[in-house]
This record gives sequence, C-alpha cells and structure tokens, in this order.
Amino acid sequence: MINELDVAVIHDIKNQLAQLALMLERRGDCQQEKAIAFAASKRLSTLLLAHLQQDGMLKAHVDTACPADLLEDVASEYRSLFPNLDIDVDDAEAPPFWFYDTALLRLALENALHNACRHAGQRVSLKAVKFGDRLHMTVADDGPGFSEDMLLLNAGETPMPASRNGTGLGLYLAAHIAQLHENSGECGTIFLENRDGAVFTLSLP
Amino acid sequence: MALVNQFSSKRVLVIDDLAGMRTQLQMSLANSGFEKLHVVSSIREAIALMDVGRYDIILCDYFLGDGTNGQQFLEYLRSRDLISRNAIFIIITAESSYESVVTAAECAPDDYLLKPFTAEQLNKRLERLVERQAHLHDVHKAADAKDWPKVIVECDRLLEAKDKYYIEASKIKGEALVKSGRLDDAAKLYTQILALRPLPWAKLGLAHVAALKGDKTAAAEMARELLNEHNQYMGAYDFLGGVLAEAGDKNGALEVMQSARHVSPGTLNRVRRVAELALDTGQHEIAEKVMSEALEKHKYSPVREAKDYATLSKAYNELGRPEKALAVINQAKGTFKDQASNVILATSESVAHYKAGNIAKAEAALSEALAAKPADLPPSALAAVADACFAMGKEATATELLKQMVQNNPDDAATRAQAQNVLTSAGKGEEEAKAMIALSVREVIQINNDGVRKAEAGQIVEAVQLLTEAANRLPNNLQIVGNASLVLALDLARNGYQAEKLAECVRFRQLLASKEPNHPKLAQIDAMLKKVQQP
Repeated sequence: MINELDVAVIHDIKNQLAQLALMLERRGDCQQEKAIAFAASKRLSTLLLAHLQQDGMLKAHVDTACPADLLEDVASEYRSLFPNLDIDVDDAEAPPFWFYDTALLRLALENALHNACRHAGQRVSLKAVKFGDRLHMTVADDGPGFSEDMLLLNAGETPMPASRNGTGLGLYLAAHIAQLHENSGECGTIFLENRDGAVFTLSLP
Repeated sequence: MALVNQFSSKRVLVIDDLAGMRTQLQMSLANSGFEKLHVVSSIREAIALMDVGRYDIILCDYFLGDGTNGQQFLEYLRSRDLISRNAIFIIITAESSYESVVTAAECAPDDYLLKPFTAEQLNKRLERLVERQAHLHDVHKAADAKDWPKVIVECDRLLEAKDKYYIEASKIKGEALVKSGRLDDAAKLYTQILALRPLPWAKLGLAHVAALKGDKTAAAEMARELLNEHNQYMGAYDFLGGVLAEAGDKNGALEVMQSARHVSPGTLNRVRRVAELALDTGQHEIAEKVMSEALEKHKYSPVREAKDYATLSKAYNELGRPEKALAVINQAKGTFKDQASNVILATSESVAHYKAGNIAKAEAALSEALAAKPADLPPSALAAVADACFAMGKEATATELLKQMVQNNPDDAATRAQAQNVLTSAGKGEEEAKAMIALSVREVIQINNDGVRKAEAGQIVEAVQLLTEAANRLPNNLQIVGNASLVLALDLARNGYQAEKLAECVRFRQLLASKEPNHPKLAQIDAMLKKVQQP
C-alpha cells in the first residue's frame, strides 16, 4: 500500500502535527484547534498501523481490561474535539472486565467515533454490552447513516483501504483489529447497520 | 477540585533524556495538580533521588540515550526490590517501537503511554492508575512485606466484588499461593482462569506449579506448548531455560535462552543467564560475545554488576586470554564500591593472574578476597571466591566456603544450585557434589538440634555457646539465629541479668525481626525476655 519512504514521511508529518497540538494546548484559547491537529496526527498513526498490519506485523496482546473505562476514555477525548456534540456512554449492562488489547481496541473505536462525530447531528452514543458469550461495543450517531457501499461490508466484503470519504481506512483497520482477537476458534468482527443513524458494532469473543 | 487533592500529595518522578519532553511533562503534571514533582534526565540521577525518597508515580521514557532503556531500568528496580509494588511505573514510548517494547515486557510496567499524548490523556490515564493503586493498595503492601498469607486474604476480599480488577487480583493471588507453597490451590485457580480465557500467564502459572511439584518434564512440555502459541512471551523462555538447566540439560537451556534473545535482545538478566549457561557448557565464545556486547552497551549504566565483569573475565580466561581477562577487571575496578563487588573482582583478578602464570600476584589478590568475613558476603560472591580457590588448587578453603554458603541460606534452592555448579565446574561429579551439599545441610540441622537438645536438658551454657557461635557464623540462617536468641533469653531468665548476654540476645532478635517480621519465634523470645529480672 505504501512504501518505506512514504512511511518515514507520514511518520514525520504525524509527529509535527502532534507537536503543533501540544503547542496549541499550552495556549488556553485554542483547545478545539488543538484537538483537530491531534486527531489528524492520530489518523496518520492509524495509517501507519494499517501498514504494519499489511506486513503481518500487527499483533494483539490480549489482557484483561474494563470496557466501561475504555469507552469513557475515548468519549472524553472526542468531547473536546467536537464540543457541540452530545457524546454519551452507556455502561449499565457492560461486563466489569473483558479480554482484549486495549491499545488496539482504542484505535478501532476512535476511528469509528471519529466517523460518527463527523456525520452526527447532535448526538453520539457509545455502549458496551455482554451479548451471549461476546462483548459488543457500539458507536451510534444520529446522522444520515452508512452508504450502501459501506453496508456491503456486512456481506463479508473487505472495505477499500482508501475510499472517497476517508472512512475506509479506519474500518479496514478496525475489521483487522477485531479479527486479531480470537478465542476458542471464534474471531472478533465488526458490523455496520443503519437504525436512526449509523451504528458501528465491534463484537469480541 | 477533588482531582487536585487526589494528585497533590503524590510524589512523582519523571525520567526523560529530552529536555523538551521533560518540560512538557512537567507542565502537564503541574496543571493536573501534582505538587511534588522531580524531573531528571538520566537513570543515574533517578537512582540518586530514589535512594533518599519514595515515589508514588514514576514516568520513564523508553529510550534514555545512555544504553539502558526504561524497561531494563524497571527490571533493575523490581529485581532488587527498590520500588514498592504500590508505586506506579509508566513507560513512555513512540508507537514505532511500541511492539518491541511490549513484547519484551516480562517485567511489565503498570502502563504504557504512547507518544504523542495530550495533557488531558495523561491526566485521565493517571486518574485510572491512581484509582487502581488505591484499590490494590493492601494487596501490594502485603506483597512488599512478602506476607503471602495476607496477600491471599486481601485478594479474596477483592475477588468477592467481581469487579474490573478480578483477573488482576486472581493473578496476584496465584503468585501468592505458589509462594506460600499451596500448589494445589494455585493449580486450581489457574485452571479456573484458563476456563475463562487462555491467558499466557495462567498457563505459565500451571507450568510453574508442575515444576515445583517436581514434574520438570511436564513443566517443560507446558512451557514449550505456550511458546508455540505465543513465541514472544519472554517469561516462558526464561522459565523453560530455568527448568531445563535445573534438570541438568544446560545445552537445551542455552538453546532456549538464545532463541529468546533472537525475539528480544532483552534485559541484562537474560544476558547473564546466557553467559552463565555458555560458560557451564564450555561454549566460552558465546559467553564472551554476549557479555562483552552487553557491557559495551550498558557502559555507563548503574544496572551493571561486578559479577558481569567477572563472567566476561572468566570467559577470557577459559579462552586462554588472561591478559584480556585482567583488562576487563581493571576496567571494572573503581566502578563498584561495595565489599561484595570488590571481593568478586579481586577473585577474578587472582584467577587471571594465576592463568597468566603470575602466582605471587594471584595469591595477593586472592588473600584480598579471603580477607572479607564470609558471613558478610552474598552467595554469589562466596561462589566466586570458592571457584577461584578451586582454580588455584585450594580445595579445602573452597569447600569450607561452599559449606558456609549453603548453611547460611538453608531454604534457598538457587544458592544450592550455585554451590553445585561451582563443585561440578571444579570437576566433581554430579552425585558427589549433591552429596557434599546434602552433608552441609545435615550438619547445620545437627548443630541446631544439638543446641536445642542441650537447652532442654538444662545444659544452657553449652547450648548458648553452640548456637551463638553458629548464629554469628550464619546470620542468614533464621532458625539458628532465632534459637540462639531464645536460648540466650532462657539463660538470662534462669541465671539472671547480664548486660552483654542481653545485648547479644536482642541483636539476634532484631536480626530475625528484620528478615521476617512475623516469625513465630519472636513471640517466644519476647515472652522469655519478660521473665528476665532487670537490675
């Protein structure tokens, strides 16, 4: 997908964006600008990770973790990035602990949340719930919903890494991150649906 | 403002070699409400600060620029019990190296922070870690005191809640069960965890139990299986290497440890294992290569030990290059200040001189090493001196030192293994070496039993003499030390107050209390001391 030189350049730009974000953070009057620069930097991190994934170098270090904490962490970050949106977390039915690679799952959820926030009208909801033997984490927005192309993913199509609206890469990586989580022969999956808006679900065994 | 209060009392240490990063962290932490903040640029400075103060939170960058990374520093601190389990240790790393950092983590930090991060993220992360620290406080405190029964009780209390710390508490409980010898309970717990999820640490726990139960074949088999599934689980390599070495398959152990180094060059402890196994199996080139590389890399780092230079020096001696062996020792001299290190270096120096044919110089260096009181030396130093004595034909002195070493550490399998190693590399057969060690163990039990029997038979003077002499010679043998204190107290209670005897009795009591605060003999000694009529 990208060659080593591109990787090095992306890496530099990513760090420069992060540097910019940190400089903006020190000023009290541009917190949203900071959040934008930071989110841009993280999207480049995603790209770099996808590259690792393609080389088969991405591995899940599964350990115990708390789903409610994870959702709250990503939500609080995106609240400063999208201060006009109402981002809520529903952990009432969340299991107290589950097993996954927190760093990887955070990335997958952040990507989904980023998409949701960009398309949402007023509200984004995060939810963790035990569904049979699996953990379901959902990101739902009140926007126009996924396009038909995107919904094809459910039929087993791999999303294009570089789709027109920029959401493809995140979904591509999220699907692979889910797949890296395996237990007793079952793998993690993601699926997309439209209810009152787009609903992204990450399902882990 | 609850947050500010929560953080304000925490003592924080930041270690980063980059000035910009230090400033950023300092500002972020100050903004989050941390008031007791120290920021340093190197491990050396960090150690100096940690010598005089305790820290609740340590934020350490992975790359520190001076050869020793954050992971190796953490291992150094943990293996020497230099930080409490209640201290939060966070490694900061760039995502490009995250993979290698995490896989190398046999001694895992409390958390990783991936650069770049904002003040907000750092804040949030610290909030969670401080919450966890508070939750596990009593468990960690008991573990620091090595009070394993208490650890188990505290873990059970946490497990009842079935909250987000359930698995973590189970893991700590498993270790405590193993440490307190409740192997069946430990196996049961690990099996329960494995039914939830095939977590590598639970599998390794089961293998550990098998090894302790004496089934080394099953233990090795389980570790190999684990490595087939998780070839980056470094703890499993170290375990398997240990099991094979104990079972006498040192070549196999070396092979395993070498393959571990291919996955992750890792920490000095692993280099030490490889070099020692290589020396034991006569593969001196390997020992020379790995140790000289490691010492070059950690040239200015406090994680080095005198023993590392001694190992390299030995490799050169075995390779027939005593001049290199001497150069290595000269390089190390002056770096280490403590007695044990100086003894180890003097010992290596004597062997190198001996191999080079300078007998007078060899004798002089060995006398320097032998001048130290054996009771003051750790097993590793005694083993080194004994090794040198064998090399220079002083077999009687060597065996006496090994006897001292075994008797002074009666319950330590590692010490016995070390003694066994010295004996076999000096040319003794496996069985002969085992018999010599067993004899030393029996002898000290005999001394103890004689002392107790004499005291019971009313021969207090003889009992006191026998046990105090033994306790002074073997200050680490708590059974001897405790009984010496007890017979002295008995003597004082029966025969009246004597200042000197009381001082000696109290000294032994303190020694026992400092090493095992909950030792049952302490209550007996105290009860007896109450009966002493003070003038």
